[in-house]
Amino acid sequence: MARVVLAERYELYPERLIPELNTLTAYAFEVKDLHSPETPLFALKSEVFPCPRIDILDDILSLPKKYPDLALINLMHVANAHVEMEQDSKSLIFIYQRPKGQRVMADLNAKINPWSEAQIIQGLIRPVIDILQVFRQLSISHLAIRPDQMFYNDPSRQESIVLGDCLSFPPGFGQDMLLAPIPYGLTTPIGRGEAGISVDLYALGVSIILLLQGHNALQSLSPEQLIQRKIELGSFAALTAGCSFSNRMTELVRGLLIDSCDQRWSLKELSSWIGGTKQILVQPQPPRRASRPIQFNNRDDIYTIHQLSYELRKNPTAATEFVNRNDLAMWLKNSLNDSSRIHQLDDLKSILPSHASASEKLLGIIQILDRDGPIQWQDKSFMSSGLGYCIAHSLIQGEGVEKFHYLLMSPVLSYYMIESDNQNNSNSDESEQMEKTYSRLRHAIEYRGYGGGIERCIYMLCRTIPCLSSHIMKYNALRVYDVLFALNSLGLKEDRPEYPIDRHIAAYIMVHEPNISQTYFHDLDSKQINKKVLAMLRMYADLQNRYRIKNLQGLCKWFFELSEHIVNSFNNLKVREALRRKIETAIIGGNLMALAKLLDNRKALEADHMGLRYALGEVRYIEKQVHDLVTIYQGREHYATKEGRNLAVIASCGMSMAIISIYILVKVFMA
Amino acid sequence: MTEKANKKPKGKASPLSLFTTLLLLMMIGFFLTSMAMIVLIGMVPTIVAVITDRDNDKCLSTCVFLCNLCGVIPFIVVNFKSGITMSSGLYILENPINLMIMLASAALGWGIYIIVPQITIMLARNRDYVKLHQLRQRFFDLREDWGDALPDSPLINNCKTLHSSVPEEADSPKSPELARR
Repeated sequence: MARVVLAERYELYPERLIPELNTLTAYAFEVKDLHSPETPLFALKSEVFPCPRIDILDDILSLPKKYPDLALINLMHVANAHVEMEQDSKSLIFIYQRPKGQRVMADLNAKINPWSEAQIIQGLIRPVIDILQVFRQLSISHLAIRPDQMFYNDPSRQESIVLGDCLSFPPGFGQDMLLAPIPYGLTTPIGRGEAGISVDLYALGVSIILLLQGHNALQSLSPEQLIQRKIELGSFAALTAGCSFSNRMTELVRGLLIDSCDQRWSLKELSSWIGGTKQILVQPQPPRRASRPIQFNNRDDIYTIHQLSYELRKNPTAATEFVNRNDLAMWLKNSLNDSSRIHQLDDLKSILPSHASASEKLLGIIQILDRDGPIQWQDKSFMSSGLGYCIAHSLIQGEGVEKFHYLLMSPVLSYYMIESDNQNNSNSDESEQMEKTYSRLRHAIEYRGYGGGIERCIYMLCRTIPCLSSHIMKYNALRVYDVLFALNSLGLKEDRPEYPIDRHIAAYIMVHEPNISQTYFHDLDSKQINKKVLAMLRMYADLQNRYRIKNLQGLCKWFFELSEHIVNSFNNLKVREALRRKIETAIIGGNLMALAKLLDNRKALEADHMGLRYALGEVRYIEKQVHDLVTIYQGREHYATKEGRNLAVIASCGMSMAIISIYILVKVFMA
Repeated sequence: MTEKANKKPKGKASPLSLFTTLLLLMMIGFFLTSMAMIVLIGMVPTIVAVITDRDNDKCLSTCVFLCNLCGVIPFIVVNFKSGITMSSGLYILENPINLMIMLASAALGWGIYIIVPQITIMLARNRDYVKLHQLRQRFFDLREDWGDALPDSPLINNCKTLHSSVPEEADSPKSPELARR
């Protein structure tokens, strides 16, 4: 079997698997560098969905050249390819330089020799600070810092580590509840979205605890118990209970595990700490405790708003009943004296439309109670940057996406999304941009035709997601260019679908090619097959021109089959045949524009219809003539009989006159 | 009386004109007895043709008359030259050759009447056949070009010869488009 070689350099060995290097969504196998065979490499083949973090791909790819000493696994090459000569799905293949050592922890529940403080500082904190400083400059984050994603850089010394892959899955997708800050942990993994460096610093803090202890002391807790413990005690207290660290380490871990994102240590404070500067620790404010608990879901020990918001998230069905009662406002007023949130509840009432559902009310209330937390919508929770992934995941899993339709239409979502964004970035331009985005999303979802609906919202919210059309998903189309090639490949196969378009492809093109004519999409909704096919053809021809693709023979063949309706709309059989011959010639050239010109010829069609009208008139005339002729012969007497008799009279007359004349002449001459 | 009532039936002579004609003929016969005898005997085939010809146009009578006249006129001329005497008249009529000439000329008229229409019909039929063939050919050419877009015609398909029976529905074409036109 022929081997796949990427970039004429990296030879893939997909059968030589390396399970110990697998990530959550990608499997690892051996790769050989043909230019430098001694360099140990491995490849990670990701899935089409959950899709890798393509938006930070270029930044990470540039790092080995710019920062060769960075303790981050070296990304050598990325390709969107098959590994087994088109036997498998096309997807992103990340080729990394293989770490010299093993994973620091095989998994989060593994036991290792506890690290010393010096090891932690030299081997973990310093390299991670360097990485995060570079990441901050690039405005990206790792979101996969955890001991089982760290590798020893040198197995013999076991002093320093390299951080593993952070690209082969969506942002924060693989992060364990233990290592995620509370809001991030409350979020459905697929809906976490991109986050700031502070999430990485939190993960670093938890990693330090795990490495100092050499094991996970909280492994017996379920994820729900763990998050509840973090909410009730605060992350630091929850994760360090029973641990005895030095004061310096305690100071570090306390700073990194502050639950408030604003108060958590930043890179600057961490660098100062490394430098030996004593940090002034801002004591995190404990959540205000109510004088009386609020009863919800058979619990009567809920004293804080965080506990309440967590319970509401955990039991969305019971919560919908709860929000319809006035208990919350009374509790906030009487037990917590929280006038700010009471005002916010009033604001919520003004935002909510008259026909607002309980889910919308719940979304607003949870956001009021827990501003930093994810948006809660029915059984899903997501950050603003993770909404697109969340919808796409529901769509792929076959879960109903109608709930997201209502969500995107709701004014509550945009209000709190913008509010949440304002908290993170005080830039008014970005807020305006967000408002415009949500307005566009509402317009997109209201448009039910091709190029609209929930599909368009997915691609608007998440521009790096591949086209999720079931027809071309295995081609992992990351650009419109890829979509065209995927459809072309599909067109060359026998088992292709009926049409080379569906709602996903249309939405993907509409989002990624905003300048394309909208009339194509309107025509795609037409019930007339000819109009629909011509709209597809002209759209793909337009895209072929834009991307300067020379040959799309597969798509041309596909359209040749589809154009049978159009060819048959010509009534003249000879014109049809001539057209078919011309189309076959155009297919060989693979030029969709030539095909479009042949098929979308209104003048020829009008001439054909006119010709048919004339032909029908002529047939009617012929039929009448034939009918007349046949009818004549059905009569008793032929129409020529009378003519014949008249002719006989004339002949008799002529003959008699001739004879008499001859007689007279003979007589005259004889005389 | 209405104007219609005043109109005489076509082809029927009035009793007055018939009487006038008979009187005139009788006067001619009285003064030109020999000539009248030759005409009467010589034109017997014409008289028979007039009696038997049921055609309104009287083509048979005309044909027989013209040819018969052509055979009789030479003998009238002979009789006229002989002074229109009874003896010369009888002399002419007594000769069987003369009678044969007069009657044979009438037979020629009969022959013309029978043969010329047949030839005419034959020619017309041939012309119609060619026309039918051309029309059918044109129809099939059109069908070849336009296929089922043109309605099929059982009449044209079936009438390979002019004696094909005309289908009843041929009067009302099935195609709605044709019906519309």
